[in-house]
Amino acid sequence: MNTRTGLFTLVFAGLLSPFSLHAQETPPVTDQPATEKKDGASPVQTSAPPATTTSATVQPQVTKVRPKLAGPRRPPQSGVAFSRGSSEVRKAYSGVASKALDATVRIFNGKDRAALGTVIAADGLVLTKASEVHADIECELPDGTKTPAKVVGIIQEHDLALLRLDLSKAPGQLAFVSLYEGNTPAVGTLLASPNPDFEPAAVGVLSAAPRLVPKQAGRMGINLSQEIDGPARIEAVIPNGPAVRAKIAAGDIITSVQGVEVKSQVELKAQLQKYEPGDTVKVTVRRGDATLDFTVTLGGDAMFAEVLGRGANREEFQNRLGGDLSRRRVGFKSVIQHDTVLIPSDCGGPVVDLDGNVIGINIARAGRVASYAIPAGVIRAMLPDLIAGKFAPRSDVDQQLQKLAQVEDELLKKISALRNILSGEPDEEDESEKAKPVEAILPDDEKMKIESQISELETQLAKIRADLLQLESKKAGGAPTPTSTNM
Amino acid sequence: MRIHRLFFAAPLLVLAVVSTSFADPLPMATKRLEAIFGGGSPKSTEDLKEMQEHLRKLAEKVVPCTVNVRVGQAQGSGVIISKDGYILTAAHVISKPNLNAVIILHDGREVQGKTLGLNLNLDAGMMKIDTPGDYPFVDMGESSQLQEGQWCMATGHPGGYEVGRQPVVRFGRVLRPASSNTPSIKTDCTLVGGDSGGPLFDMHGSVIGINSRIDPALSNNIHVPVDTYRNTWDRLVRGQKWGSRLGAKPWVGMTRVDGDGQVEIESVTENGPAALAGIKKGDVILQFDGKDTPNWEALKILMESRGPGDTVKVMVKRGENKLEYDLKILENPGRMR
Repeated sequence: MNTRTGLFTLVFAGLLSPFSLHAQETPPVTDQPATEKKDGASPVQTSAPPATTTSATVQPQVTKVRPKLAGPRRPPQSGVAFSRGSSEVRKAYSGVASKALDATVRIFNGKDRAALGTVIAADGLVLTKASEVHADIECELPDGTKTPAKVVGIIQEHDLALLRLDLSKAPGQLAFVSLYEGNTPAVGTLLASPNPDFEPAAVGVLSAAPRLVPKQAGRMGINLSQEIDGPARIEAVIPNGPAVRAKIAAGDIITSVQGVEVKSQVELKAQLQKYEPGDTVKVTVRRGDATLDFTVTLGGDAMFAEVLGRGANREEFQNRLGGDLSRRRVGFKSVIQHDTVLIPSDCGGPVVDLDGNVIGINIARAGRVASYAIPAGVIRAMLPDLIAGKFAPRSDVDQQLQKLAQVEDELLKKISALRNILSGEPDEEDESEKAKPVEAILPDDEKMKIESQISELETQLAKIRADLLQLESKKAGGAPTPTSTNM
Repeated sequence: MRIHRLFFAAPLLVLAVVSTSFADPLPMATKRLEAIFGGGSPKSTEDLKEMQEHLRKLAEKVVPCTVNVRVGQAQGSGVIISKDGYILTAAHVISKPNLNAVIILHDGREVQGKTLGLNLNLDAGMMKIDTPGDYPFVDMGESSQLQEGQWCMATGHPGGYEVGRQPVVRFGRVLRPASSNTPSIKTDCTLVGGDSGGPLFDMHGSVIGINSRIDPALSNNIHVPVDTYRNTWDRLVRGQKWGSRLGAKPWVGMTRVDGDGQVEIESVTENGPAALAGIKKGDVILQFDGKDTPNWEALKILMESRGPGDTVKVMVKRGENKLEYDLKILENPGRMR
């Protein structure tokens, strides 16, 4: 079965008939190329004076020699020229996006593309998405210069980080933008998210006014026995819920989550609260005399409202149709929702209105229909404290945390790549793989080899995550706290 | 001579709407704007600003008419299309006629209602608010008039109702209008669980479709064409449930002689529904389901309101005789293309 041809009804808590639909609903999708032809911008370096500007009003002339990288994989939006995000439509935003595009930098964790950054001052202050940047942060400026950066501060409740670039080796002046002083514009406003990998910008419409998006704990889809203080014994499992899919059964006693021992229901709950719907965790259970390990992809609260036996966890599943989501995508104090299609590493860049005003900073790819941006006004209010160092990261623990998070990221990427091979998800860069069910071409022994590789990586992942949790609780001041914020 | 198969059940005629009052369509400020929204691309910041001014007004008009609906444990969206509270939604949101429903209006106010009819084949469903009141509403447009590339707006409650969040606006384009072969609209207004039953609007603010389903590609967002609600209005209002499954196409197993006038049967499929009922080559179909069928268009619309599994009375003229048969509509056994 090629899962790509299945259509999914959109009832949220749905009782609906199953459906596999006629094939003409699913035409072949060919994506527009991620990179586009560069116009003939002059590669000549202007002899800009050294960075002495403190006058905020003068925008320095920046020579556009930004190198074209092979852009990251983008979810295909449409195979047709008349789609809402066609290059023709996006081109109309060139004038609107150009100024902010010059102030948008690429941020790398070592060699890995992590996020975009928004330059907000000529002396090298850059806003970005905190949970995507780890250690060895390097920024690539519009002129192609790569320069290291340090974290000035992180505001957890917004997942916002302020970086300072080391400009000692940067040849030119740095273009920057100011955050818009006005209110967030109305629903229906057209927005552009300037992006050097997708010039001039990804585009969309403002979908919903700023609001709080509460944090959500990950859920396994289980009911526990009555004794609160007793061991975490599973009384019942939600049909087709995360636990069931991982092959965990009623009667099992959960003894650890991600390598952290849980002796009671309370402790289990505390552990699960550290994760969000969509996270994958290693769960150890005792079944009779045996101790078994399972990998569970957590769901959200929604599944408990769904009709038993039907699409438990369907919301999470549907949200992932259409591309990767940011790891941290819930738990924001105030965000604008817009329908621009972003990928996780597009976060941290500016969002502009049709006057070029930076009305927000993209902070999460949150779902199939939603990207989130922190309103400019919210950031402006915090900026003085952020710059003054009131949110400075605590050095050693944070650095270790960042390093571990980076390792975690790498492992997740490897696992995801292997899973794609197994599931037959076509690699979009490889045309020949399209439409071929991998089941047919992947011999069993090859499959087993990949599965054992995955399992080994998952063991490493569990260990890293256990270390992360320990460090986090250390940072939070001793005992593990159920409410500690996720990185 | 071209042969039309009778099992195509596409709406091509537009019947009178029951509604007596109309919402004002949002006018286009300029010809240029009209051309862009009709299927063109903006070329400049000025074009975009004109679009934006219109979009903001459009959002103000359509968001208040978008509702969250709850039937049992299911939750979806809907759109109010009459002052007294008729709501278009998706069949899979309401599941059955005559169930109690809770409707949450755009401002968070809760009212009571009941589910009405549904057509499972196309995923069309209807309900009505019982709590007396004058509700903000929008008009039903014409989904048969859609053009590839024309701009559209979708609203709904993605992820389910959230306190403090108004119905969520998406903006996109019609990638594929509905046709006889594929009786659904495809757009790149992205949808997700909870949007089901929510409206798709043209740029005048008339409903042209109802959000139904998705597949992995971001460009595959599928909507029920609004014409089917109009064409099957009486059945939906009466609370009938018909059809077998999403995507099922009715099959009667006969072809007609091409022409604008009366429907003359050119051939019947051996052992097909028409043949089994007793209909023969050369018969002229006078009535279908108790209603006159002076031409092909009239018959097509009547067939759409009936689905696989339904048995209907068909009156034919054979020579000088008028004969009546019970025709059991089946599901089309094979792909047509």
